[in-house]
This record gives sequence, structure tokens and C-alpha cells, in this order.
Amino acid sequence: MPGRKKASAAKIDRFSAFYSDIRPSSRDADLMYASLIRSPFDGGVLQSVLMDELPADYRIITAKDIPGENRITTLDSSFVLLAYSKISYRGQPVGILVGPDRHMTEQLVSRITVTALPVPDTGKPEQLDKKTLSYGDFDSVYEHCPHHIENTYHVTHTEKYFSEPNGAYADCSKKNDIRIYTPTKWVSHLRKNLSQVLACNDDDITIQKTIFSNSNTGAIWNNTVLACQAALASRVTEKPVLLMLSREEQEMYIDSGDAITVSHKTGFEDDGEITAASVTVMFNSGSYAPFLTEIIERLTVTALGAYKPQNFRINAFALASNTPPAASLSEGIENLVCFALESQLDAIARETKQNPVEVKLRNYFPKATHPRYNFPLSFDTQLLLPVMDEVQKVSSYQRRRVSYDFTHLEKHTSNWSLPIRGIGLATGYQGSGFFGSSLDPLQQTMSVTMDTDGKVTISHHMPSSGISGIWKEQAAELLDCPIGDISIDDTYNGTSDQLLPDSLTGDICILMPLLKKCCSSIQRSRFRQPLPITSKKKLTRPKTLLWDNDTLSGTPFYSMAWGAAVVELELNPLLYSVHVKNVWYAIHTGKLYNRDAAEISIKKSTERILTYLVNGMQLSADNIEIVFVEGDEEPKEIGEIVQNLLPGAFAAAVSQAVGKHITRLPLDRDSIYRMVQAE
Amino acid sequence: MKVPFTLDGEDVVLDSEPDEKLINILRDTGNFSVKCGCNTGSCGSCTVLLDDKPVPSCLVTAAAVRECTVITLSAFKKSDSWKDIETGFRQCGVRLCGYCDAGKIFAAYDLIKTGLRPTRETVIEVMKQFPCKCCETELLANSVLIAATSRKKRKAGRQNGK
Repeated sequence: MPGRKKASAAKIDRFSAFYSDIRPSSRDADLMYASLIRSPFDGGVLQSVLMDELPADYRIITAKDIPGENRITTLDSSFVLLAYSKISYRGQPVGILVGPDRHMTEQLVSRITVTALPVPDTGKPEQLDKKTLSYGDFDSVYEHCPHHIENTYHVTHTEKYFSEPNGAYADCSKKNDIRIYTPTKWVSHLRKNLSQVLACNDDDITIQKTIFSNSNTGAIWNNTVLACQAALASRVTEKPVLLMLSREEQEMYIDSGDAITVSHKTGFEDDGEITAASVTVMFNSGSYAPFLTEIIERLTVTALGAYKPQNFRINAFALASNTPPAASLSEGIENLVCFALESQLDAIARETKQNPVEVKLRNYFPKATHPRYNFPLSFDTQLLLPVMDEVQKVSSYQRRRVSYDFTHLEKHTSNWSLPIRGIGLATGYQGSGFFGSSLDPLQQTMSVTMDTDGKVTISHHMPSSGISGIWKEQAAELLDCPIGDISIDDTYNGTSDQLLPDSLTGDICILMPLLKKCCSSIQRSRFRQPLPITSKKKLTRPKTLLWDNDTLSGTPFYSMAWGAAVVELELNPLLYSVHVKNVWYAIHTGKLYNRDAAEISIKKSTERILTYLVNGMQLSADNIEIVFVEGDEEPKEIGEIVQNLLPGAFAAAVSQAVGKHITRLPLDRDSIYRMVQAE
Repeated sequence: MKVPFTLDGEDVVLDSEPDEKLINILRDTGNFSVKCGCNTGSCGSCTVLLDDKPVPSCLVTAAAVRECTVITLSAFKKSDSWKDIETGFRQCGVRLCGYCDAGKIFAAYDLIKTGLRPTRETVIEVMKQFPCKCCETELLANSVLIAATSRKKRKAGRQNGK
């Protein structure tokens, strides 16, 4: 735009900057803007990426311009940074357009012609991985069960974020001084891949973490891809480059969520006890999923939650497709199967006309008709009992459920236009520190140093402000020093990068015990040896927590937090809208360090998750009430437990209101209309 | 076209296409407190005060700001009105993510600027419209009510001072 002054040089403040707000520190340095050129084809062999009359100062960068290797490596798998031959999915980056004007770059990128030779489509999805876990004899027992229910559940986790789209600001204009500003949560992964792509030394790269405003785990490894693309563009143009996804790209390639289909085939007794259960989980891994094996293993061990059917068979498949890469890490993936499981239990309760709570308890603690000692998965379900009691007490679940059932019996003879109410209960857990993961959180170390002036430094990655407050308080208490003397240092260099993504570190359940160990060690020796004292500790796996990854048997998680949720809602049969009146939780937390912070975290998660349970309706709850069931155990991670509980409880409440079983989330107005009409 | 307007208290004349979005103009001139969110006017990240009314700058064209006053969040944070809101935020422990701040802060300002204390239901209704759930709505509503009280006291103090 003529006459417009250039954006002033912005200061870079690590914890108050978004990468998209960063501009070159020197006014003379021209910032270049990058846009990704994407494949318009689902597959094929790339032929050319061309544009007639490309304006001066604009440049197309392709795989040929990569000085190092054209691949991003994650764990043992790798994927191309820019497609150069085979096209794997529609929208795959095949080049980068760089130019001095952002708007012009965005406009020009749509005028670039990408040509490819078609390849015949086999039409058959390729099976990438399969895991099976079985116990007893499902086939023969299932046939003789008095009741059977088969349901297929479809879950698409689509959360809308309007925070900063993913991307990076890269300055590689100087060969031995590469600077990357990006909201990375996995510094070691980014550094390793940058050095691989740019063919440079690890030490030449300075990574500055900017504000991370998207809680989607897909943003974690995808961020490395984008940062490498920005760095490549900067290296080729020898100018600082800003690469930021458009809102559409962000929604399509990062926030789109993972698609999963869960089929339950359950045989059960008159009292609702499951005697034979088969679960088939189909995971669409897209064209690439770096955590595929772990995702499939985790889906397998969590498909039946902590229920103990006497005979079961779980099959989990990963299928390749020509859709964008699966975004997830394995952590938290079970929220996609929890809704299906809780809904199936709800269907069993309805079929047998039993109380849903009793049916759940009957399957958590089945009759001793079968030797239990061979049951492959070991969960301490006793901790669930107080949680179930509390949530029923606080929500008056039984009274409300029965009264709504009566109302529904009468509704055909009374005024049908009144809002109809429903209440639903779901149980579950949040597992942290999955032993089947190659990113083992127990491999972490933490060091704490008490200096000669009594100041204490915790050397670890910087957690959220709430968690860092808890760490400091705990350290101050254990070391008997003022909280102001405690600081957290997360300065990294090439050799000390944290190996795990920030979201997998287990800030509460793993790092808190580590911090306590370090502080206790310093406290024991501080009056016997001169300062400074540094204590560096690592956790060891407790002998009671055995896990065999080959047979998928034992206790799969280092720490488990049990929880139950009750949702009460009102459904308007004229407007086909849903109004969530109350959400109650009871959560087992172990030792709880900060009640307020925990409560706020649960309420925030609830508000966030409610927004995507019904498409086109932004739901919110009138009232959210939480009961924390504390214990003497080590503290538990509870930040993600809402994802495992709320969809199941919500679906059960809608089911009660409309008298129809819910097998698909999110709902929409049309599906509510169809259910009400069918009723 | 030449567009004269007042930006953060300073008279400026902008040379721009008439249909260019205000958000692009502001960000291109270094006003980074205006964030690019949904581009459809619903997320609030790009909100500015246009003649003292909060508007999403992604829906406002350059021609529409002719002879108007535009205040961005960074300039607003130097005002007394911000101090009222900040008091509420501090007392309730509200911490916004940094990206959605403009929408929520200007919505809070719009609720309290008349000097009347809004009802809790009104505040919740306004605040729950924001899709970014970085802060619990109830907490945010409490902070706005405190901000309203703080503003009332400040105004009353000023009148008494006279």
C-alpha cells in the first residue's frame, strides 16, 4: 500500500510475544512473507510447480532448494518436508512462495500451477498397523448371552481455535546464526530437524519459544514442519521470513482432529454384567502419523476402559488414506474411545432396564465367576468408588434420573412442546505416563541448585504459570526459604534440550515428585556441606507397576486419576436446541496442591469441550460444580480428564431426553430434529 | 484514496484502497495488539474502539474509518478505564491468553462505560460469546463486576474532588 510506513521494529520478549508480531530488529532488513504452495491433487507424481510472470522479488522454493535432507524425522519415522515426486494428499506442500508483501504473496499462491501425473487409485485403504488384545473366549460365550447389543460409534474431535495460526519467524540470513521464533513445544525435535534440513550444526541454531496459544496436540510436531519450511525460505532468500498459516489452512491441516470409528459388540446378562465384549477401533491415520504404533497400542488398552468383561477381544487398526497427516500425539487419544464405551454401557442399562450406575459398578467389579489373576489389564478401580458416591451425592443423580424417566412416560399425554430434560453419568480416568510410549516421561531428570546466597534454581522447562507457582511454593516449603528466592531456569542449548514435548512431561504427577526428591536431598545435606549444592534426580518405575508392551498386559500408566461426571440438560423440542443446566464432577486427585487452580482448569476444559459437542451451537453450562476426592497418593494429572468424561455424560443425558441412543458426536440441529421426530 | 482519521489519539492520513480491511492496515503499521483471528467478526481478537464502540476490525474497511476515532488495545491500556478493568482482573486472578484480549477487554469496557453496574447475567451472556475459552467465563464476569464498581468509585471520587 503506497504511503504506509513500515512496521516499527518490535522488541522480542520471549513470554509476551507471538511469533506473528515479530519483525526484524533492524529497519533495513526486509521481512519476507511465505505462503505454502499446496498440491491440488489427492495423489500422483509431481511434475512441476510453475507460475507465469512471477513478479520481481518473489520466488518459488521447491524441494530442489533444500540444502540438507528433504525430510522431517519423528521418532523412527520420517516424512518429506516438501513433496518432490509422490503426492500423498490433497493440500500437501509442494513448494513455498516468498515475497515482500504478505497480501500479494497470499494472492499469488493461488495462481501457481501445479502439475502431476495421475496414478491409478487402488481404492482399498492400506492397513498400516493392527493390535489385538483378548481374554477368555469371546466367540463361544457371545452366542450364548441372553442379550446382545451392537453399535458403531463415530467420533470426530473438531475443536475450533481462533488463536494464532501455527507458523514461525525465521532469520537464517547469517549462515552460522540461525534464529527461529516459534510456539514450539518440542525444542529437541525442532532443533534436530532444522539441522537436518539446513545441513547445519545444532549449535548454530537459536530457538526462541513464543507464546503457545493452541492446546491442540497436532500443533506440536506440525510446528516443526512449518518452522523448517520458514527456515528454508529464509536460508534461500537470505532474509528474515514469516510463515503463518491462513485460518483455513489451520482448520484444515491442524485443527481438523482425528477421525475414529469404534464398533462395540456386547453380550450381557439380565443384570447388565458383560460376559462377552468385542471392540473394533478404526483409526484414520491419514497419509502419515508419526506416533502410529503408540496410538494404536493406547487405543487398544483403553478401548474397554477399566471395565472387566469375562471374555473380550479388542482389535485396533490404523488405516492409511490420502488425507492430511493425523495430528495427534498418543497422549490423550483415549478420549475418542471413552464416549463410545460409556454410551455402550448406557445402552446396556437401558436394554436391561437397570440403573446405569449399578451396571457400571457391576462391570468394574464383576462377580467372581472367573479367575481374575490372568486378566491382562490391571487398574486400581477401588479408587473409583468414592468418586462415584460423591458425584451422585452432589448431583442428586438418582432422584433426577428417576423423575425425568417419569416425566418422559407422561410426555405423550401432556404438552409435548415443553423442554424435555435428561441426565447422564459417565466414569473414566486420565492415564499419564503411558509405559508403551517411546517418549518415556520417567526418563526425565530434574536438577535443583541452592546457591551460596540461598537462592534456589529449578532447571527444567517452564511449565504454565499455575504449575510454576505450585513448584515454587513446594520448593520454598521443603527448603524453608522465601518463595521469592526460587526461580525456574529453562535455558537450553543444543546438548541439553528436553527430549520430550512439553505436554508429555507430567508436570504434576511426575515432575512434582522429582522436585520433592531434589529438594529433600538438598535439605538433608545443606547443613553438612558447603553451598552451592546441586541435586539431580530421576524417577524409577515402581516395581508394582509392571507393563509388558508385547502382550499389552499389566498396568499401562504411571499415574491414573479417576473421575465421574454428570450432565443435566434441557432439550427444546420446538427449536431443537440444547441447554446444559448443570455439570457435576467428582475427581480423585491424590494430594491436591492448589484447589483453585485445579477448579479453574476443569471449568475451562468444560467450557471448551461443550463448544464442540453440538455443531452450530455454542453450548455453555449454567452451573459447574466440582468435588475433589483427595488422598495421600502422589498428585495426579487431571487437566485432560474432562475430555474423557464429558462427551459420554452429555450423550447419556441427550439419550435420556430423546429416548434414542447416541452413536455419533458432535450432534447437530438436524440430528436432534431427527431424534425428536422419531420419538 | 486518502483516509484521514484519528488513531490512538494521533491524526493520521492513510493512503489506502477503500475496501482494505482495517485489521491489515493496523497490523501493517505495527499495531500488533490487533490480532488476526477468525476473519469473520466473531472471535473478537481484532477488536478496536471505533468512536468508542467495540468493532471487529476484520469487518471494517478503510473507507469506514474516515474522520473517525480508532483506539487500539495498546493505547487503551494507558487509559483510566483500563485501570478499572485491570483492577477487576487482578482481584479475580484473570489471565487472558494474549490473543483474545482485545475482544474481552473492549467488551468489558462497553459493559461498564456508562457507569451503571451491569447485571451478572448480562456480563455472562456477553462473555460466553467469545469462542476462546482461555479464561473461565464466571471468573471473567466477576472481574467485570468489580471493574464496574471500581469505575463508579473512581468517577465518584473525581466528582467529590471537584
